[in-house]
Amino acid sequence: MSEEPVVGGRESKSEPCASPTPYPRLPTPTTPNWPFLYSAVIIELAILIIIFYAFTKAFA
Amino acid sequence: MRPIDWIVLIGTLVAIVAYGVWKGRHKKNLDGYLLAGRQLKWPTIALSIMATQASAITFLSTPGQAYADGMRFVQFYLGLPIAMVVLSITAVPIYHRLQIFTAYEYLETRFGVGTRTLTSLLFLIQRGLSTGITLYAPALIVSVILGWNIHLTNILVGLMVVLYTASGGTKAVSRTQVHQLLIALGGMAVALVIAIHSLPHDVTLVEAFRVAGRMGRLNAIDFTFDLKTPYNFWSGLIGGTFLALSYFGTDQSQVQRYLTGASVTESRLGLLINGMVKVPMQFFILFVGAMVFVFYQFVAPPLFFNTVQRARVARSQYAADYNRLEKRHQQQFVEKRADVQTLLAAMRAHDGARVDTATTALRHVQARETATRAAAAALIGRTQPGADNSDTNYIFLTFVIDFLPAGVVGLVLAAIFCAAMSATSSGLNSLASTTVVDLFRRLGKPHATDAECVRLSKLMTIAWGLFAIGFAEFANRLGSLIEAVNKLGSLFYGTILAIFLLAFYTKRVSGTAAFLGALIGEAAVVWCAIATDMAWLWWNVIGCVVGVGAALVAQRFVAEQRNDLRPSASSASSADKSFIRR
Repeated sequence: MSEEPVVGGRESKSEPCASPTPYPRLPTPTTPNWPFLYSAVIIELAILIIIFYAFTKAFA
Repeated sequence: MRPIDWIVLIGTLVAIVAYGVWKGRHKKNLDGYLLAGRQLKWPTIALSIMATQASAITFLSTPGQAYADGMRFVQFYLGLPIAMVVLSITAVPIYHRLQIFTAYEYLETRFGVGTRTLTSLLFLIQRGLSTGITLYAPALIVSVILGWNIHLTNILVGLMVVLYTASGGTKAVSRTQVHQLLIALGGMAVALVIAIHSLPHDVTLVEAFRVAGRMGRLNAIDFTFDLKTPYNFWSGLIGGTFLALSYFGTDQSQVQRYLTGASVTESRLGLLINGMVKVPMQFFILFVGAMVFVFYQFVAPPLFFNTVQRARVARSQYAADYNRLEKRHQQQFVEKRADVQTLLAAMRAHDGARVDTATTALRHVQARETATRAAAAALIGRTQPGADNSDTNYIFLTFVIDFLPAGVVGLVLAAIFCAAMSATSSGLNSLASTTVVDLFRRLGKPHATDAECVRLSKLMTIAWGLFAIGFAEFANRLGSLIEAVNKLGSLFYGTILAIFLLAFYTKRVSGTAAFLGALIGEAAVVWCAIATDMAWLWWNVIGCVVGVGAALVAQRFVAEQRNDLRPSASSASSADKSFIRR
């Protein structure tokens, strides 16, 4: 799955600098682990269905 | 309405409109006006997506739905998280790579201008009408319960939305939606707390759950497979997935929300957070309705919640019949309250046999009460043939007005109007975008400048706003409004989804075949709606499956023309942009 290039270098990897620069180095944001996130959404749905079913049965 | 309610209501609405106008200032180019400069972060995108879907209908009609029919409506949303994952994987990277303004632009890269225009027009019809209903719903309900002038309410709310949507564009819409959704959910949370607090002091929360459950109001999940039942697990999971794929993947009012993302990551996260939060949020709103139902087991509810229809029947030749029904309803309420007390006593004594006996008695009297309410609705139908004889939409607001304290009534009303404004603003914003980008700039004036397009977008926002206000004046007799708006969408969503699926996943289907497939799919949906009893969630599946199938069959018979062969977007590079004629 390809990510689009990010304008402005916010997510780009910068080369290490030999000398101090006047600009503070921006922290590199962590790229989300997409398979993990997709799985989390589906697992949450499965858990919700189980909870709702238990809820239905518990009070019926 | 007391003075403090007016202060809270007017103060909130004025602050929201002013904030929207202020946030959206200085938008000179089309990218800034229609897509907020593609700079938004995932929290704003997620809340904006949720606020677009959660209109006033959600907050007014959904609790009433739970009151009348239980919580099974939550199953309608079960397909949504699946759709969010699918769209994050497929649609979001493609839309971002092509740097498009509308979802329909993408179709031209694959099928040509004919299919793009057809889909745009289907969207404009469906969304234009839905936006009218979105605006009409709170105006109707508030006018009935508070006696406000429905026309004035419609026009005032409509003009407020048009003001900040036209002046500030998408950025104003998205930024205000964050606050609007938070206010709306806050209002519902306060209503829930007060509903629970207003129960008799000797009734605990768990006992309230048990009463609601025994009376069939906590029926959140039903695994029975039945094509004619509107809400069950299977229709929600399968039909709901198709509906959500189409709504979030191809409806410009939603696509525009995540096209504003600063990157694919921001857009994806916005969608996925929506996938995680939406189902619990709907459960919560339905739960408010279930608790209002429990409340009305101890406090006598009106026979019919729509006061205007009640007054009308009282003045008609059926007044005596209605009075008889009211007396019968009161007797049934007294009987039912006694049965609820018996049930609670049996539960406290942990006497299973007595609990079952009390439950049977309670369900019996409840069935008689339902029959009495149905007779009253039929009487109202006879008084004014064609009148809306469903009172589902009035239940929650009646409870709010009659039982919530000063200040909170204003807050809940502000929440409802905020929700109406947020959904309407997204609708107008997307209608203007599609009209300008897919029709005016593509078919009318291809070399229009950005300034011209921004100016026209503002004019189109105003024009669609006036259309929505106009349609709202005529949108009545629709029954449960939340069903009406989703039914209307389901007439078109399956077909539109079919076109997008063909574009995403097939390489050989030509524009002509896709176009024919769409027409045949739409015909199948219309046939299902008119000639069968099929529950409306399945229309989305039918439209999509028939549309895709018919296009694949048509492809075998339609002669391929070289001009129809365009590179598949899934394998396309940034060179795709050259195919998009804006």
